[in-house]
Amino acid sequence: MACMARSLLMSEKYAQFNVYYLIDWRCNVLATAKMPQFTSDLAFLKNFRTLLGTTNHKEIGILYFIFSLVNFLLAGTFALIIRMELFQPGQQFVDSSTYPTLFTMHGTLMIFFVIFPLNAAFGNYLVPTLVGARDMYWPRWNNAAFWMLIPGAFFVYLSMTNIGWTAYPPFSIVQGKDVEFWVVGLLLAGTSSLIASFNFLMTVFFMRKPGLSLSKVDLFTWSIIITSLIQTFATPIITTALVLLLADRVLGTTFFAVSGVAGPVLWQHVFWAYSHPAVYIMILPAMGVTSLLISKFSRNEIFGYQSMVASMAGIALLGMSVWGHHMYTVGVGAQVDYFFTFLTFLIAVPSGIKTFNWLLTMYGGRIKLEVPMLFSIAFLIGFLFGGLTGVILNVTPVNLVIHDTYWVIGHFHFVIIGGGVSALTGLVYYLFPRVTGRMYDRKLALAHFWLWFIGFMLAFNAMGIVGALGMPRRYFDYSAHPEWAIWNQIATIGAVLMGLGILLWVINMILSLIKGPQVENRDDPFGLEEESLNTYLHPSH
Amino acid sequence: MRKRMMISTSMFASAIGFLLSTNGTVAGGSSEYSSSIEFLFLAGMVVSIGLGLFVLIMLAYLLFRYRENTSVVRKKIKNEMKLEIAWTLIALVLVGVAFVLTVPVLSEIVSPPGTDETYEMVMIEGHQFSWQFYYESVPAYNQTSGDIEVDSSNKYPGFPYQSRPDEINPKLYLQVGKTYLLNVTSVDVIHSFYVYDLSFKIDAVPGTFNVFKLKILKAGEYEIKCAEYCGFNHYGMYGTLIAYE
Repeated sequence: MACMARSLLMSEKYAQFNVYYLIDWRCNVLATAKMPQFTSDLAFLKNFRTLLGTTNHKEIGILYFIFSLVNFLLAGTFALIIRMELFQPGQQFVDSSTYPTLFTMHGTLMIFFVIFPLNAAFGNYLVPTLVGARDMYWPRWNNAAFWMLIPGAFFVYLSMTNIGWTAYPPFSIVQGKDVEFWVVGLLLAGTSSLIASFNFLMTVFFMRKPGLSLSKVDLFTWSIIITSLIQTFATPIITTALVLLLADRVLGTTFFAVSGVAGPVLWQHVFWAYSHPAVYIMILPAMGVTSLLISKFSRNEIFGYQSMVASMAGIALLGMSVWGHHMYTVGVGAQVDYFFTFLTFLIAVPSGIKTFNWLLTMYGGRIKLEVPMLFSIAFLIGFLFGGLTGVILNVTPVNLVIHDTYWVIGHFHFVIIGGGVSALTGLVYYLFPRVTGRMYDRKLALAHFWLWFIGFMLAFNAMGIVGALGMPRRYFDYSAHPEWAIWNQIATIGAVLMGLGILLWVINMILSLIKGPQVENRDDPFGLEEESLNTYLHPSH
Repeated sequence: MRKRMMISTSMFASAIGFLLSTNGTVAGGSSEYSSSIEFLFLAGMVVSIGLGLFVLIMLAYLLFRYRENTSVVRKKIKNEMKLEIAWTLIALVLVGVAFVLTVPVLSEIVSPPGTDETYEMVMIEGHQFSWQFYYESVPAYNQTSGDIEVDSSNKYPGFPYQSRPDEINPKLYLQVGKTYLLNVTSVDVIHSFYVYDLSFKIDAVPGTFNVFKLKILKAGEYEIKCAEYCGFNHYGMYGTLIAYE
């Protein structure tokens, strides 16, 4: 009898009303509260008090999304100004002392105030649902983590600094403009992401519904777990480095100064020891999203679940030990170069495993080519191009030629924009009917997809080529090399297409929010569930 | 769908085809190691194109064959484990080959010149936003013209001749076929001494001295650029390397 009762509790039917909440006194109120009726998840935005004080994970996820979308538009505008400036040799729109501010702000904002919050947005919105928790482990800290980003962004915008997002000293110490504000802004953003990552880890480890063991957790949740682990280990490094940089500037210490014992190369070590893992913080959730979307829209189980998790863990471990591949030209010594070359090459292995697993997930499926699926395919292609250009970049002798050129820019934009942002855009389209109860306009969405896809293919391929021709990054002007103009023009055209795509996206979301057709079946707006299991609320894999 | 795949594939192929068709894209073939660097780049490109095309074609095929409204037989994949082990091994072999090809070239580049080799050291100093060159002996090419002046401050003992400071487009005179040790440093912020046509790049870090050897094989004028962001005039920090016979 006892055994029967236990199995009843373990069954998914009762999972949401299990004894867990009765034991945990903090959640008593939540457990007895009425389930919210499905109207729109956006209702909280209308009331100032709920807007500021919400602790609901879905609502905080939506706040994160709106925040990163606003920054995405601003940082994207910076990128477009950069591209317009580079359209022709010579000075076009801005002058040479404004230009560094543009690329610094573009980089900093895109990384710390667009991609990171975007991942937190989807993590917040999806993870508690996917693991069967009612909310995050620390709902109030969750709220605090989001609102910490607002002053963070404020300080970064206030600084309008010109040090490049890498902030290499001694330039950032002796000549950088208003670096103090930039540092404070990033410290706030870092603290926010640290809180969010602890929160995710606690939620996944201690609030899973009974019966959902870690070996059954879906791949998106796994990607959030691994991302949070990387953040937990890596963020303290950048926090320390930023504080020391601040001390160098304000107190006159010499941690990274030329006159110091360690010298400015120390900054490069600690900066990349964080910022290389940060690249994986940016791309891993997109990988999880792609796993989710491809298996959904192929109506197929994910191929090689265990190797997917193992390769993500492998990428995380390797990713934390390859920072030196940013420093082949610094002169850190041959042995160090060999070590980092070897480890960096190894990252290609788990990345390759994941790519083929995604492909074989489609094998034998019934693929519905809806907009989210198209964006997942864009992820696959962007990640493929980014990965291959990355392997070539790691051939150390070749790196001596193409390091710090536009090849690098093309490479990481392929990975982060062509890969990461594509997948997350796909997820936005996937979730839009669930969140708002209304369907997006399919034609506009398709137009967005094509503009985006063709745009990033043009832009980043052209960047790679002009980099292989020897154009260094962060160049304001290339009057001495008119042969670079054609590739820069192609890149600019691509960037404008991407910008138009984003514009259509925003228009589409606003229009559909107001007068999009109501979704009949909110749990399955795309008609995917016929003849397949509902794995959304009850993830088997 | 297919059309899109074809567009993207052809775009990839044309982009890469351009690189292959242009003679001396990544390296000019004009210094000791630039030909082996160029070989590595082209080899990497060819393998990448092969892999990329394979994945793109596979993607297009799967998307077409298993599209929604076909009655094609949908089999389950057997031997999941074997497949995964197979491509893990293939990937390991590929990166192993890449590493094995990379290391000898790298070790040649970074190794100091042999004891029997004669070499001369040239000091390269990055300034915002110019380069200054210090020579151990006056270059034979330019002894008569006034481009090279005796350094009165004698900043680096052992380098009695230097180019004018803060010159726009300063000139570095190196003899073809002679091994030079370039001793690269900076006086203010980090720069990077970048000669694309000689496939040579090394960072100029203030407070440290990066010594790399360089042997030029072809006479000519090569552009020196700065490759590490160093301020508002980063793009204007160019010079000319004149390789004379």
